Amino acid sequence: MSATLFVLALGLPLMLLLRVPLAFAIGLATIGALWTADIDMMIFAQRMVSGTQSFSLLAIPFFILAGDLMTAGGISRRLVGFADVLVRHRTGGLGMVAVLAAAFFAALSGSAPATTAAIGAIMIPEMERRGYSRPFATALAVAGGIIGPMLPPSIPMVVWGVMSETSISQLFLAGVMPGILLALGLMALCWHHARKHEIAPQPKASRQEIWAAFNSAKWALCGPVIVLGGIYGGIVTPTEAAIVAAVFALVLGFGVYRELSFSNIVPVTLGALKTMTIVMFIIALANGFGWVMAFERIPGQVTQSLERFADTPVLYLLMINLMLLVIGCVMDNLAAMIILASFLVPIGEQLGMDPVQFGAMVAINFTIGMATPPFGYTIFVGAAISGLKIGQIARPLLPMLGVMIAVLLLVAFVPPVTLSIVDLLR
Amino acid sequence: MRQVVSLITTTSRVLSRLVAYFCVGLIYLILGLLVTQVLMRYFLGAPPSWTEELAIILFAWLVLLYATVGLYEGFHVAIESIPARFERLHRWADRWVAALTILFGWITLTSGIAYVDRTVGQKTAALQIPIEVLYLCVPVSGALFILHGVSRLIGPAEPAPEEATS
Amino acid sequence: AEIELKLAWLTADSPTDPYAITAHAFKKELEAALPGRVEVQLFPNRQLGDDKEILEGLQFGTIDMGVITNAVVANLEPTYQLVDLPFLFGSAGQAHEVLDGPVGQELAANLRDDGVVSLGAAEGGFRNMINNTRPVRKPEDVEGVKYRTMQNPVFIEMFSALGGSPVPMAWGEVFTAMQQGTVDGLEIPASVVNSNNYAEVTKYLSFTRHTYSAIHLLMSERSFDRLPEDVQQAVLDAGHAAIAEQRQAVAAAEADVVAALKDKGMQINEIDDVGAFRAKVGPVYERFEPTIGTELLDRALQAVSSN
Ligand code: NA
Ligand code: NA
Repeated sequence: MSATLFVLALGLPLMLLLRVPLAFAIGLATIGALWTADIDMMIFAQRMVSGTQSFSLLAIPFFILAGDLMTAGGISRRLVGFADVLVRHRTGGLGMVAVLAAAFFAALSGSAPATTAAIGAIMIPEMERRGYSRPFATALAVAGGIIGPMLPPSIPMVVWGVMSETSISQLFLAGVMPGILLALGLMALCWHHARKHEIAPQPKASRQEIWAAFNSAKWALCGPVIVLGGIYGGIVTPTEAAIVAAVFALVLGFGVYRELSFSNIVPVTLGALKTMTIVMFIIALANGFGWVMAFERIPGQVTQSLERFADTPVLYLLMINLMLLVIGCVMDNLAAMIILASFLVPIGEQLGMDPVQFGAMVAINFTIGMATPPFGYTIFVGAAISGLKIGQIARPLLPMLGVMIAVLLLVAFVPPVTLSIVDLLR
Repeated sequence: MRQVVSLITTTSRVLSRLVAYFCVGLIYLILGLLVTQVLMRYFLGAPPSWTEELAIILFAWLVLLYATVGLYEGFHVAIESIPARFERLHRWADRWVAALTILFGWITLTSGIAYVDRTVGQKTAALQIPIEVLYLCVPVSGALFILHGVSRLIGPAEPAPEEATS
Repeated sequence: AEIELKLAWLTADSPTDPYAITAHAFKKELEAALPGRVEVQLFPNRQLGDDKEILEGLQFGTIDMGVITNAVVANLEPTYQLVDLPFLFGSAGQAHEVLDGPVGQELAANLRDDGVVSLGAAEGGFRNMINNTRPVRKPEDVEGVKYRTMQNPVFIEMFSALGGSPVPMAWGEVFTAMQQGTVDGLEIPASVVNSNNYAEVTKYLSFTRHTYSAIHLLMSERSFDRLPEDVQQAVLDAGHAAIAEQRQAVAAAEADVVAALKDKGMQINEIDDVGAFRAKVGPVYERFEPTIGTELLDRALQAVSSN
């Protein structure tokens, strides 16, 4: 037991320092643990397959594919165009355009890096041209990406739903208000930033301009209605909604906007497969890691040792959230959820929290982790688009992380923030 | 010796391309299956009982096969813990990482073969086809991990170029 | 303790869950029989994987024990399909007699060849249909309704034979699917309806009693062979005692379960004539006779018709 724990606790960080990719490091740590605990290595093969064998997880590749097809098919650009005519004339307007466009895109996409990529590629150069600094513009795209999986649909919510057997559709709804709050908070930061740096707003859009932008974006704006209406109308499961989103993106890109063709669909699909595989391969291997932990009864011991905090729930909840935020800084968010699920679920029960609220809290906490340095996918994407170093993005990102943590605290301590919309449909 | 190296790196490159294009076909095949399932349930009230099962079997293949492409292209995420200017340290670490991925591939291959061997005779629930159709994805991907890992270990110092996808 | 046995199952660790009752009863019996020598460690809630993977774990010897539903055992050892045949048993008593008797022993011997030791069959209760379309009184009521079934050919075939639309779906996805109307109904024992809050999302419970649900207390042969002989005997004895206890507890709880479900607003009904259902599922018997074996099937049919 102690040898196994030793291998897990020491081997994983050592391999990460050596720059072993996270998925392989998790897998090798599992192999080491199985070996020291003298468990048949066949379990490694079994868990690797088992990690992929959930119909709900199939939502992940298709939400990613749909997002990439939408960006390549001109949907993202039209959403930005529509956001632009709505808010560009306000102080900090262009920053607000980026946030609003991210929120529009979020209602179609379940993925944070996809949202950052879709918005950042268009908005970072545009904001720079209008007087915003590149680090601020990039940080905003990174933070805006976090809205992606907060508003439904949401890949982290899918994964938590699978791991904890919580209703995925209810988890989706729990993210609506936190997503809106985050968007508003980021917009307020844009306003403050523009005032401080005296960045002049754009001229107000005329009625014709607004109409033209709406007309151009109207099909794209139908997307959320189709995807979310499908789920909450009882027509499709969340996984099938991802299928619907991908088909929608194909139809729009090929048939309506005609920006997809047989020559660009293969590279776009290869790109989506790459993103999907990075995520899913880590999930598949985290499954074995979680199994070894359960087998060695580690989660139970940790939960038991935390139990004495249960009579001071506020402190307990703060401590859990802090712990998860720290883990989110250095780990893949989905892997962390899978590995930690078996002790997080009993903690939620100890605290007497509604499983949907608790699940939303965990998923949002780890989603924030995608924007916390040093390890965060949306930062990686932001750095890749802007050519900046992570350190340069981190400074302007800090107040934005502050907004996210404020939203997280509301989620943790004010149940209606997550549950009021869920209750409407329960 | 140089011929052996070139044979391995060429095989690695060609196979990774083939597998990548195969996976493109695979994801649209899964998409097609699930579209059929939704349409049949919605319009005919009679969903096929096997689409879901087949879709997640193909999903396992998709994830593990494309993960091997990821090893060739070097797209799996790692923490950049070593500053770029320490070139020799980088090269040293690269060799270690390649060696560890070969070990990973070896365990995937051997445990996968053992797993397939031990579960022979089981059938899938809905389609009633041999369970090997699913479990074989483990040893097959294990073999590809070894191939790409060896190619990285003995091939040119710089990691394989990222083509088409980025 | 000197010997640690890991016992895993799929469902929650609740005091009314038939799997959990089996596991706890076994733990109590064995640890009382060999105080200080044996510890039975419990892993509820899919901690060590779903039931198919737990069963594989028993074969590999990585997991020592499991409580596993018959349908999953039948995917490994097809003769177990016998137990799931629709409308085979008229009462729990009949089922106990067959499962504890020579037919049950033959099944256990077959499973032993796959590396798994059977300690006996605990009671899951009869499986019944619940749905949101209409109460099931006659076979025609099943027609056109989308029932989630286990991913097992006997169940898929049975619902096809009755004219329903079987939708095989993993257990973890079912509640949401029911809530959203992606499926119209499912077929599970009444106790599971209650413990998993299906009353919240389902209108009708019809006592079709179409399948007797056996949940097997199983042990890895590798783990079993490792044990000293006296412990092996204690394990077998504890298994018998636990199953007797569990059957009693489940039977005693059934009346409470039905009352609770009525309280939660479910509409509950009995079927009109079991004969009409039996007539419809004839093809299922024909289809699975070859895998089960004619001789074994005949002996089971004889046993249930003789009383
Ligand atoms: Na979203
Ligand atoms: Na992070």
